[in-house]
Amino acid sequence: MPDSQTKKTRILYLFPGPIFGPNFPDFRDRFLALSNFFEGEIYTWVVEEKYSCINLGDFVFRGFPRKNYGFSDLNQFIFRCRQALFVLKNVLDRPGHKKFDVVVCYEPNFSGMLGCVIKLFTGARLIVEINNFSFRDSMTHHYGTGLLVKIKIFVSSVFQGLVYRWCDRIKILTEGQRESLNLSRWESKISVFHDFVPTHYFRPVGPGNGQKVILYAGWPFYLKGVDILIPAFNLIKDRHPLSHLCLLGYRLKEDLEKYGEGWDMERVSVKAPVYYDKLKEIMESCYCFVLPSRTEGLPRVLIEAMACAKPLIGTKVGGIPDLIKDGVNGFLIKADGDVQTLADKLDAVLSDEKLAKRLGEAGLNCVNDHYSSDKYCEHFEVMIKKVMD
Amino acid sequence: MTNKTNQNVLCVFGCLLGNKTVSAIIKDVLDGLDDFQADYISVTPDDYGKYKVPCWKKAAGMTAEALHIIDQKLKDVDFNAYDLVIVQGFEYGWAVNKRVKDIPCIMFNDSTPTATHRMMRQFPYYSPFWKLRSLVLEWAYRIFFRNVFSNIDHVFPQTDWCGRSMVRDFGIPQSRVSGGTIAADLDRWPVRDFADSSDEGIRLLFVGNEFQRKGGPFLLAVLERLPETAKLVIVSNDCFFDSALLPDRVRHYKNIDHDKMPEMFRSADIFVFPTYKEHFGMVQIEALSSGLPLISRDVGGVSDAVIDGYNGYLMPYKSTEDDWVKKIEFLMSHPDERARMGKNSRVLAEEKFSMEKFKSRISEAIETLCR
Repeated sequence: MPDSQTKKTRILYLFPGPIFGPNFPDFRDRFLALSNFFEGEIYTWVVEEKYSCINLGDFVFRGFPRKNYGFSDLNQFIFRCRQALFVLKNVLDRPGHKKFDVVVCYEPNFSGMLGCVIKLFTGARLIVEINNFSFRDSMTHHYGTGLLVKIKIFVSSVFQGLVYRWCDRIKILTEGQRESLNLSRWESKISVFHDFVPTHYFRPVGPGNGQKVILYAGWPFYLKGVDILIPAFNLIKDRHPLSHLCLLGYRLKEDLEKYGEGWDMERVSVKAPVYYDKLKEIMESCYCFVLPSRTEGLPRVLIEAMACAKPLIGTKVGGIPDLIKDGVNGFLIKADGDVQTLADKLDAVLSDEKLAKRLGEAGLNCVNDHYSSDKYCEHFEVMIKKVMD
Repeated sequence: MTNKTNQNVLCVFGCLLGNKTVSAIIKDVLDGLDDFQADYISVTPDDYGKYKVPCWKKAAGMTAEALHIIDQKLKDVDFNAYDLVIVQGFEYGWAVNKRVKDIPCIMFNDSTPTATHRMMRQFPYYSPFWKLRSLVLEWAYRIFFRNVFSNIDHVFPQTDWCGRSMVRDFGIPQSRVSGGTIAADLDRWPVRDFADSSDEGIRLLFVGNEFQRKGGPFLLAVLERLPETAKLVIVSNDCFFDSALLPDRVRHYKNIDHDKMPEMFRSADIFVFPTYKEHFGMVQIEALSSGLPLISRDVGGVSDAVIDGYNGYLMPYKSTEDDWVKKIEFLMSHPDERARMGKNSRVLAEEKFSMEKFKSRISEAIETLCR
């Protein structure tokens, strides 16, 4: 018989799907790194057809090809059913294949339910990741407060309870999520660590000289507080002739036309979202990174900016206080706060290059100690060990 | 769970001479495993004389003839005496599938006829008649050959492109198909020295025999629009060069010894692969392993070897000469980008196309199916 200790644990990942396809480092490197300890398969359901079956290290990436479905609720429902059938058919029909030891689900709703069914039939262990602070809030932010949304929230909250009861481990991003999600009943099966960020991919160049670009990346417009950022920048830009504000994100231009009438957009550039390798260039060439969010999980962009050794400015919401220590690697301001405070902090960072450098280096140390890609693998290994025992 | 002491394996290969790489690797793996006894069957050119083919099948074309011969040949084999069947090639998979109801079976496949026909219809040198014929044939395959692989437990497609087609056109459950598996001996193609970038311009490298199919004339048109410092090295035995008048900056090598090829790769800067019709192109692995950035046309399984922007550029099928010139000029003016992509190429080769990974994957599949 083969030695059971040398065998790698087989993992089944249920994932909604990488936005830009699996070949970009934010997705790919995670599985290349995990291949050192694990093997398995990744099932996703929103990819282009050319990515429907490829190898990523010791993982096989399988996707349900995205088709042009409408956005009406009925279409969405049919699409969901087909996705679920696709995953179940392929996972449960495995003649002569090895069984999965662990199932990891990206969120507790759709993929969580799928994971429960797979656990029921195959007896695999189930891990559920939770990446938001409140399901209700994120639903109402995206879809409004209609009756259908309320029904959806109610139904999913019932199922979420079942999923939490069934799963063997719950993985959350920060300590703050315990309270907002009411996880006190499942205290014994919670693991807390960050999401994977390919920190090794970024060069720690520090805040550059020359043109001082203030970078912002995020979506949507209001929740990330762009309406505070632009006036704050306008207050200080006369004092810093080399400064420049760069905004990256979906639908920014349309939102600016809607909300930003009469705003002074001089020296503000607005860009559509870019591929990861391009983001790396932009991130490395910026001077500091600002994220004046109103709601937030554990923002990956901040970890990426820290990996480039940039000073950060963020708000006290969600997991941001975990990442930014005020005065150590950046500045924290009040959420939904006034323009003047943000302007002051921007002024402080822009006018003192030594300070900016110091903040950036502290951030880089913080990333290397707590949030690097190697750390993620360590945490993940520990979590799998706990589940398997 | 008990392990039988001696497992009998039957290998049905296309031809022991052709398709040499994959069948040789499988034989290697089987020799390395203990407790496995392997028998080999392959169809040789002699078999075409040995078995009588009905005239209507001969008229229907090469594939129908081959299918008949394979079917006849496998008639006498007692499949029940074996614990595992390994089959290589589309036609053989069809013939074996009928006979392996309860026996585990692994299939290796380099391409499917439907995917090949889809690819051929893009080929610009084809006449409309052939395109129509290939459309009809593709649908004939899709209709009559659906579910012909239903008894096969694991498929190793050569490329992701082939794997997709197996799922889409032949109805194999996706869980039985692995990602693209193809390998070469990377030690034969050592990495070039990245610091060695000469100032006298850059050398593009083209390797391939069928010059027209692989987009050679297109490449010469691209070269015309490039600045004088760009040189092109062509390694080809095509008869095109017997009469062609080549510009000064093109160097053509003929009948190059296989041992000298690594040196050719190491002395180039960019590998260009403007092919119009290709299943994969093993030469791409050689270029990746040597650490060259690739610029390839997106056709067939070529996209397995090139991740756009990571280790080279994947050009759309209908990209024009100007698109290619833009990309090549960009790489000419950015040596650091060239070095980055070259290093990524080697990383990709080791990750995807290394022989050890390939062998371990095969032996793992064999062992799991036999247990």
